[in-house]
Amino acid sequence: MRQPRTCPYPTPSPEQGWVIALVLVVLAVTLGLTLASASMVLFHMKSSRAYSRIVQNAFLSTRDGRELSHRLSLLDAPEGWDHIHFSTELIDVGIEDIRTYSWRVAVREPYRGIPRHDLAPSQRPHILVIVDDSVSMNASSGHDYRDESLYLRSDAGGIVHVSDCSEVPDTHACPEGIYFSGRWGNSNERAAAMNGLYGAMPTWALAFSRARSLIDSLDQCEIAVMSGSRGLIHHFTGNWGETMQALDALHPTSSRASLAETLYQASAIFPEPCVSGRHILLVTAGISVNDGHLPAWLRDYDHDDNPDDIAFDGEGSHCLDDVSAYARSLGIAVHVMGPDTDFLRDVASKGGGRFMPGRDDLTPEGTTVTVPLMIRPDLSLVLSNSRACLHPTWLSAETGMHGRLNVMNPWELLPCPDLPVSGTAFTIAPDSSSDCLYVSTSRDRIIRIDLSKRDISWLLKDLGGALYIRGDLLLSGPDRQGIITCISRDPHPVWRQQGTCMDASDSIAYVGTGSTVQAHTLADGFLVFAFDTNHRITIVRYDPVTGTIMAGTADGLLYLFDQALELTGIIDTGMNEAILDISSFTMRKTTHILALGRTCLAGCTLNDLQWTASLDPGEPMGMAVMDGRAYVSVWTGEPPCLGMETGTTVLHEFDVLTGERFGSEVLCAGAAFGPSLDLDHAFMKFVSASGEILDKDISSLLGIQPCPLGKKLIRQLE
Amino acid sequence: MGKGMSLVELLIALACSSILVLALYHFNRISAASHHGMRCTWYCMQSLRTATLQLNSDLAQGACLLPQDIKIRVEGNQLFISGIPVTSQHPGVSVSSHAPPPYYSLVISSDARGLILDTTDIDGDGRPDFWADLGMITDTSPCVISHSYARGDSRVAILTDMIPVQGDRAVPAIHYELKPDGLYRNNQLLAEAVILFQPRISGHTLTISMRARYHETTKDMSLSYPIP
Repeated sequence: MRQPRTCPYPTPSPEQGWVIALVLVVLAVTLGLTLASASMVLFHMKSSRAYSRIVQNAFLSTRDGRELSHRLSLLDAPEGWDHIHFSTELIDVGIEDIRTYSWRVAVREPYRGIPRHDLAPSQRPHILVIVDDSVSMNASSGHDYRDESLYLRSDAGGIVHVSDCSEVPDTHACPEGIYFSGRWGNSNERAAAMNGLYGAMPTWALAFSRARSLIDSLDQCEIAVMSGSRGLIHHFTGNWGETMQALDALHPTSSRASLAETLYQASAIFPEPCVSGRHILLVTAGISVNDGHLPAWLRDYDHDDNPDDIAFDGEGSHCLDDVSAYARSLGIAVHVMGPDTDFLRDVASKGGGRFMPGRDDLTPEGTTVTVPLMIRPDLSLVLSNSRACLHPTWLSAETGMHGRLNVMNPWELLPCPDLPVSGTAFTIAPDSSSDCLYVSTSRDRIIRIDLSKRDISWLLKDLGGALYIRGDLLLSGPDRQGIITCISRDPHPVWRQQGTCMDASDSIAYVGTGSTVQAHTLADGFLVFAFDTNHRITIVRYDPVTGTIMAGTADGLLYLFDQALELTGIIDTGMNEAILDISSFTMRKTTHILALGRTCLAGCTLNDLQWTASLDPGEPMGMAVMDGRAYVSVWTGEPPCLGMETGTTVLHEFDVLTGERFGSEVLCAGAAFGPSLDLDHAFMKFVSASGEILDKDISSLLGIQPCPLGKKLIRQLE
Repeated sequence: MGKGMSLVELLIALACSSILVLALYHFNRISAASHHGMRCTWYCMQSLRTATLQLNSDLAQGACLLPQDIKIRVEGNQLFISGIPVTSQHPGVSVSSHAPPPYYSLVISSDARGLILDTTDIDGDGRPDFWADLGMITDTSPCVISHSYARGDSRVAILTDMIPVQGDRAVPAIHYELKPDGLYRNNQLLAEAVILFQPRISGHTLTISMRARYHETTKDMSLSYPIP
């Protein structure tokens, strides 16, 4: 049975032809609309994709699982920044094939300032050392040698104590004399008994050695040297080397010991200004010979009615305690070092001094600073000196090895626990790779401080001077003996060389000695190149960017060499004074050099002098070249004492290309040390002699903040 | 069955068919005209889009590792964007192992025929970074490297009215120039429908006005980029 079809929308005609036609029309219209829509969608998709690409290129996105990566490269110093002390930190940030670059300046090697030996407070102790150099000093001190100590009998005469620890079993002969152990000395080097004293050790070994050790540890004092036989040998000086040289020239060989007369003369030698305390250190056996020829009123000054308070041509005069009392009346303290006798104790007592004094009896009180700040990421460390001895307040412990060079083999170190820290801070060399700090002192000590533990890791005696870290090696020098020493981090001496100044590349040490510049291999110290300038070399600098070796002379010449010490140029800076510091930098691909003298700053290229600028009278303390500007700090101390806390330090700012002075500003009262750079906080820091920290904002210098260097699309347009 | 259509039915069918055919014809005409218009617009936009994408890419990479103060120069209707264009023979500027950016050459000497550079390898990667038809920005003026220049030669022949002076810094640059047949980039046709190209620097903004035309269709576009 046929069912009729029902439809809500009936066709105009029930015939099949109409239906087909209508369906086709509807399909055609639908197809057309679909194609038109698809075309528009495609167009918009392409536009969106292009826009998306533009936006993607403009911003870095970590969507789609892509990871942001950072790369950090250290390159040579940026344009206008000192080659030696700065490097460029190139920051490369990106995702896969889109990289953005920026740079900022980084510290390559902290500035160490211009090391100075002559800094002292304006009011400083004056100490006159009177050494009894008569043969009676060879008599017994009443003490035996210490069994474990080391002594030296010098060829010129006299036995001195060298160290509390001995590497010599019995004796060891060398050019200086004969080293022997105390144990051996007690049997074989016995001093003659005298005045009831019977010990094996002579008075010279006891008193002179201790006095020498005491003088060796004193800093920021003026010291003069007299002998009982020859009178004044060296006038008051702050030069430690000269003082020690004068002491070391004394030997107990004289037949004369005019102790009271010498003490009387000494009481009139002290100067008036710049003196905080007057001290006489009398080193004697207490036996006067040919003495007492004094004014009559002085012979019994203490009114003790001693019948021996008269002049004697031989032994016997007893005027020493009287003159000591007289010196006390003049405000001079008389300290005594010698055998423990009532007479000598009486001399010290009447002189208002001490028998066998220590450091604290003579050194100046107070705290001073003598080196730039040590910049840490979160704080600045001040290396302060207390009582003229390095004693940073932040140092918590001293647990490491103390040692000195072995007298039998100078390439070995001998652990010697009793060696103290001595002298004020001289230079510093931070080592960021091991988070430690190397400090040398004015008394030839090198100290390694572990900054994380605030602990002294090790201390070496008889090594000092400027410090340079090169790879696994530490270069120090010149020390008091004019020796430059290369030390491994163990520590262990690697090689030693005579020199007056130095710098080093990663493989070669360049040493100035007299008028000669020498190149030694860093690993073993072999001499590989040398050049004689015929002018006294005062400073050597190695430029790590150009590989140029720059040597400044005492008469203002600048010698330029390649790394094989082939002369590449000589520049007359016209200063006619010693070059104290050298900086090199690049501007527009041209290497420029700044030479700093005491009164002048000179700018030159590798070929010729460009300009000179005079500095205000004073002492240059430091120079830094940053962003095309030279910052020179000059300290002007107040005469006559030129104390480090007097006067002012002024910071001058120069244009490095023209020498034009942009400005000057007073940093602080007294001497200031630095600059130390805190780049994270955009400060140039100085520290005054009294420990005050001074900040100068350098955030405006190009390179302190990250500077954009553009973007690179490694993926290219499709 | 077998009855057939009456005359009235036939006439009505013919009339309906005619109306339908006429409607379809008009629909087709409108579609064709619309398609033509869309195609012209598409063509214009394609040129503008290509130019925009390339400009954006070049500006985004402008002065990459090069001095930032000589990033963009405009000379008449020519635009110079400092940078080393990436080609099949050159990967673009790269970071040196030791020398810090920014990289540039120095003009040692110059005359009307060209200039001598201290180096043509500004980033020290061993590849010459200047070649023929490339732009160049110096401190004095931008210029175009002559078509006759041999890559690697330190003497660079240039086309410019203002000759760079000794001591000028010089960096390679991407050069945009409008010619009668379209917008050219480094002397290669980039967008043929572009008939107007006006770069202008005002303060710290670079504005580029472009117009594309195809048949009677004209499209304008204006782009702005901040200059640091």
